Amino acid sequence: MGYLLNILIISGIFGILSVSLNVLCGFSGILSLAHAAFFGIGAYTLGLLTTKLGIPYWTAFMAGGVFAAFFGILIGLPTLRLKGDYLLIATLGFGEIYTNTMTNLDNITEGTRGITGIPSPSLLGIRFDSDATFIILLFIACALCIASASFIKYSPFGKILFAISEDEDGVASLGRNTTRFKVTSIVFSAFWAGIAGSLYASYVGYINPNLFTINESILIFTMVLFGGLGSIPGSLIGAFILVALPEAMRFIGLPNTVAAVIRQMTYGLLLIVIMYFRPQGLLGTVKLR
Amino acid sequence: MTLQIRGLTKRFDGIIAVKDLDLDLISGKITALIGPNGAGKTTLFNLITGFLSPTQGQILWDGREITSKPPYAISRKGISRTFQEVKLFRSLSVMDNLLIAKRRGRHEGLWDALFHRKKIAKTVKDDRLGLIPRLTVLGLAEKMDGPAEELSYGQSKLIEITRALATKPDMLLLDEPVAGLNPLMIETIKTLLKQYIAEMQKTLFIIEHNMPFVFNFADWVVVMDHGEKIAEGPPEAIRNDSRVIEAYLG
Repeated sequence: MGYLLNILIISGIFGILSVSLNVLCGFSGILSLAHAAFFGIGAYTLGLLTTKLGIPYWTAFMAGGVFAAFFGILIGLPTLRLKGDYLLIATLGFGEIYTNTMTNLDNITEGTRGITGIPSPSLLGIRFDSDATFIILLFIACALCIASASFIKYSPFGKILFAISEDEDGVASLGRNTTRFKVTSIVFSAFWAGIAGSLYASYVGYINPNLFTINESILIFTMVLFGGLGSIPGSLIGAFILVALPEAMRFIGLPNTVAAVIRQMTYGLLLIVIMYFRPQGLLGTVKLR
Repeated sequence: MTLQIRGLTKRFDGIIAVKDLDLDLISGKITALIGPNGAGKTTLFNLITGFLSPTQGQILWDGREITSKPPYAISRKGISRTFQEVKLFRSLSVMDNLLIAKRRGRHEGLWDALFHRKKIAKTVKDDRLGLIPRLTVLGLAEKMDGPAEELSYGQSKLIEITRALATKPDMLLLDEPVAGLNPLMIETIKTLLKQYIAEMQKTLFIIEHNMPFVFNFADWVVVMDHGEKIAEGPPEAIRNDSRVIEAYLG
């Protein structure tokens, strides 16, 4: 039971990550491999603020989202003028810079040793320090993330994002500052990645730079593509399957070193299969161009 | 409102696409821009609407300089355009394509999306009701909630023009609006544009290769060849101009 709850919680955190990345990739058509970096910024913000500066938990928790969103603006403004593959490379670069900074800035971040003793949240006298209590908190966060993403999907704001992904010049010719919309969508996306980071750091209690690398970015991206660009339920299913599948493989009884390699191969294989049979993803309507 | 172009030049790596061009567009009139392929017509459109920046020269709109402003800023000043290759948002519905144009930026913030949903739902509904008669006239009412990609080529062109008109522009630039369309569709587009022109001194600037359409529809014709303006005048004069006949009409 505890093991299942653990899988559900990790799926939930990755659910927030994949839904928020989908707003960027599926709605605005901005392919990004920097999502794990925003995830990590949130986790490190909460970790450092609570353990080193003694900032109250909930302030630090929100700061995780806000700080990630701030970096979203910082990255978005210069890079969002790039298109397609070039933008993808730029986000990849940002992800690498992030991981290296966290590793090498060790007088602040403790480098590869990571940060330990990150506190669990508590509210109104309830401590969310067990799986059974933490999942309540996570459920609320997930619900808010899903609701806000769906509100966007059907709003005038969201229609402009979809229109930008189709034809940016067309949107500009109708009098819209497309850069502003794209930056706003990266801010939204990064905010929720940061919140997911806050949640992850306080759930596990320990973080290090290797948890937020390009591999995690690719994993989240795979979840989005698997579930379908633009589909919110799709992203959730993608997150659940890609978290649960490797766990299920443990029961086959492979040694750990082999399992890790097989896991990476499964992601690749899954992506090839889905792109071949359903290029729009499991529940998606938008095709990757 | 008038558009004045002064000494406009656009150079691409050695090729001069538009060369020292002067042009005044008269408001309330239909001006056609003709000339052989590669004459610089679309480049001129892209310069006016901000999709390209000129190498030299000025563009004045209502006496104010708009040279090199970004496309969205120029559109907001009342200059709308369509493209040679239709730029509809194909996965959005026909209605959504028009709603985006009609909204002109109202209620489009992230904050509105998250916290003002009821209020927005109402304005969307009102905008929708306002657009239904327009789609009915065009015979596209039953396709309005389907994706724009399901429209035929001619219907897409029609919707693109309707969408540009929904931004309520003072000047509309159309890049080959009737190319490849059947005579019936051409008549529909003519009617649509005449209605627009009839309101309040609106200006129309059209690139078109369909000569019967140009000579019967335009009040004024401008001819370009190799980036230069070689002639302008009323249709009858242009039809008999020896330079124009040599360069283009043949």
